[in-house]
Amino acid sequence: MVLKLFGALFSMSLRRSLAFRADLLFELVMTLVGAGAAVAALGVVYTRTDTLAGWSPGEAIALLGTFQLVSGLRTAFVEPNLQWFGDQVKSGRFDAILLQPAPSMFLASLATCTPAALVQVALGIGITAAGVIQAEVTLTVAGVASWLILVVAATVTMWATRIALASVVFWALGLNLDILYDAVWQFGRYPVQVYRSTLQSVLTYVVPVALLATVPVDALRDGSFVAVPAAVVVAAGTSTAAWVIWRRGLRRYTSATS
Amino acid sequence: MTIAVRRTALLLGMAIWRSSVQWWSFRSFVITLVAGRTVTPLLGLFVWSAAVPGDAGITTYYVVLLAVQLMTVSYEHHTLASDIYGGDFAVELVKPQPVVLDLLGTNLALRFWHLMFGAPVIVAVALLAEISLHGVDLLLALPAILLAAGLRFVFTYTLALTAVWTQRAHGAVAMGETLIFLLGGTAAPLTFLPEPFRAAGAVLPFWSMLGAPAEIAAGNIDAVLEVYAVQLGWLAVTSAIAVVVWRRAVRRFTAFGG
Amino acid sequence: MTAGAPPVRVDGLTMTFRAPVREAGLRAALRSVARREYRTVEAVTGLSFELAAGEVVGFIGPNGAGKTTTMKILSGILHPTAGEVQVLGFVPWHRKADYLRRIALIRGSQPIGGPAELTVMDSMRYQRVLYAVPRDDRTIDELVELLDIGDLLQRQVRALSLGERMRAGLALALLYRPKVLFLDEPTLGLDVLAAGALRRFVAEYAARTGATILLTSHYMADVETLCKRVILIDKSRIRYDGGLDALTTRLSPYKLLKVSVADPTGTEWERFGEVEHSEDGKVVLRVRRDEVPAVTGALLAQVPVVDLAVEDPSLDVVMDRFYRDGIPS
Repeated sequence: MVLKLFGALFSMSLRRSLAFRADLLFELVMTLVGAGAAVAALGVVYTRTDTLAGWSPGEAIALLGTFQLVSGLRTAFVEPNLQWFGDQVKSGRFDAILLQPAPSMFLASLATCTPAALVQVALGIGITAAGVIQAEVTLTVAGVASWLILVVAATVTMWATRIALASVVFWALGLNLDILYDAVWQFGRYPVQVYRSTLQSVLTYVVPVALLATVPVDALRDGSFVAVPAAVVVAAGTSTAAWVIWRRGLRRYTSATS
Repeated sequence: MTIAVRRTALLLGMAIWRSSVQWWSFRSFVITLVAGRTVTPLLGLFVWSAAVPGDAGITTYYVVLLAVQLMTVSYEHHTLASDIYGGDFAVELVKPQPVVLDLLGTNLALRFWHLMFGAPVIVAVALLAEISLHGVDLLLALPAILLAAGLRFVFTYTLALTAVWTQRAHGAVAMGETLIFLLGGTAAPLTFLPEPFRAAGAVLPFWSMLGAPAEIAAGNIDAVLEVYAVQLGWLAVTSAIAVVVWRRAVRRFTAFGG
Repeated sequence: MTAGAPPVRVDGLTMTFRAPVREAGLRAALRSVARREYRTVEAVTGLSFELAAGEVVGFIGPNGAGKTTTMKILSGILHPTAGEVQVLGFVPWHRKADYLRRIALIRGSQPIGGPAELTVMDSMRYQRVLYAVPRDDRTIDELVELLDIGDLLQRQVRALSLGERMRAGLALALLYRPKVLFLDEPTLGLDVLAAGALRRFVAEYAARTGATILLTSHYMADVETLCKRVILIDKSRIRYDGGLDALTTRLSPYKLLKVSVADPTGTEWERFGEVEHSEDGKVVLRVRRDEVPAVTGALLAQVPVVDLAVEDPSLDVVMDRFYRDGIPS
């Protein structure tokens, strides 16, 4: 039932974005330019050095590709719903979600999507592949499987943390942390080993930005499952936390607004 | 003549004051904006410190770049373009003052708050990175910063005006920011770019908007007057373009409405 | 829900919330950073009422009286501070899917939710999945015909006029045949023609499906055409609950005496009552209810009356007075 519902929602979004073909084209160009700029920036760094914090050029490109992949999933499925979530709450549009007989957390976070952003996902996969080839990483089944699980875990963690952050508006209407989330997110595009020790620990253990791309590509290159249990635990933990925060926030919303 | 100038200055002063007060009430949002704007220079700092360890020049450059970034932020794609999309632009046109005045006031107010809220970050990073600055270089950088700030405003303002023709003014500004990122000295200091990009970057307007004052302040440039000249030239060119685009935009807007 | 139990039961419903208060100006803004001041606002206080199956009840009162809050509580968007509510045997704010599938909240201010770039038909299809309406259900065709929206189905929601949007919104909300309807200002902003059509539709829908309807409106015409019973709420409390016909009696201590005379000159009308209106030998007097018989007698005896009628003032006028002055003693 819920799957069917989200199937219907996805097809609606697809139809909607196809109605604006010029915009679609523009989005595609923007995505290409963005990805090109990111790769170019990385390229310039490697004109001065052969290894960046222990990462070869190809490996760093694979990492950037994985970052683009998860970023694309975020732009495609999560951001269209949770961006400016506070405005939805303020304007009363959020009430329409509460009236629908389906789980409100899923409706609020996944109901609309921008299919055009899926190009970024494809591009991310392409860049990862190019990086893997350039770095001459010998792919193993274990490595690819581990990478895949870790990317899924990172995506779930992204979704959960994004919900938790958007829920802040239930306590502080007017507090919008979208941009802050995005600022922290950007730290994921380089290997966490680039950052100095304290920041590196923070980005690994406190706000798990390392999970985004560094950990998956690490697993891909080593062909090991070592990081999988931890990442799955983080994904499950943040999801549970998001659910609890959402429920509390909703209870507060339904008792405190006018 | 002098009366008109005084009146304009007074109106601008009031616009800055009113906008500053207004943005103070959105301070939590401004802080997230600051976080968003500091992230790219910070990433540049980390990545380049890891790529070429021990190069004091590059850390100094990025710390100054961070400050310049905050002093030259422009959000006309939000303020002006949203006015045009939302219909408030018509109200602005009715006011007996140049439309640009209020927007310039908002721009300066936002830059002021960005600098205020960003100052702790700048100071903290400067102390941690152990940078060295010279008073003379900072003095020489001042005119360059003013020119860069003006240039960035005119540039963003002109791009935001495309809102009169398309629904994609945000995208146009984002495209401009990508160019500033690549060729303006954020992705890498201009001197680190391979030829012919380095030569092209030095004469294109993007470096004049961001990287040039930072290089001067970091003491990396001897031919300071040449840089001023390039900046001044671009300010003249972009201003002329802005005036033409403005006239056409108003003609179009008054003919078609928002 | 046991048979015969009223579909809507509200008992002692109370809702208060804290609202931050802040004076204007920079200094006050600065001060509020350090210490926020709140005041408690009573949105609704001790509401108790029941709605019988198939009843169409008008829920009226001035702005800020608590109407919308009550509607939101009944539809599960808010949960109250105290009191009990049962709708169709459910507690609304538990927001059980089974409950939400049986009710609809329709707001004149936002008749259609969801993306405005989609066509009405797209939204219908989604609604059918969301509310698990079987594919062979004929309700859509019925609604399309009743609301005359056949031409709108292929159009984007954003291109619809306000009236069209309301009709499409109704079709979307009624697609799953809700048993209880909360209509919040359904005719807001509609022109006379569209509002009339909407009223006819709601009346017909209620008669046909036996749905229970609670309706708020600032337009007394809505209430007069659709509701036999009204609940009047003011300053968060129920001030009247009963027949519409008795409301005017309760709220207005005056009646209107419409008098026609052959020769309008020479009569001192002020002796008989307050002159509301006077034109071409037709005079309207406002007279206290208890004085009506005496005044009528006096008029007939002292003035050459051609025609005389006693009427209640129009509900619009009564409500207007009530909103301004409160309940007369």
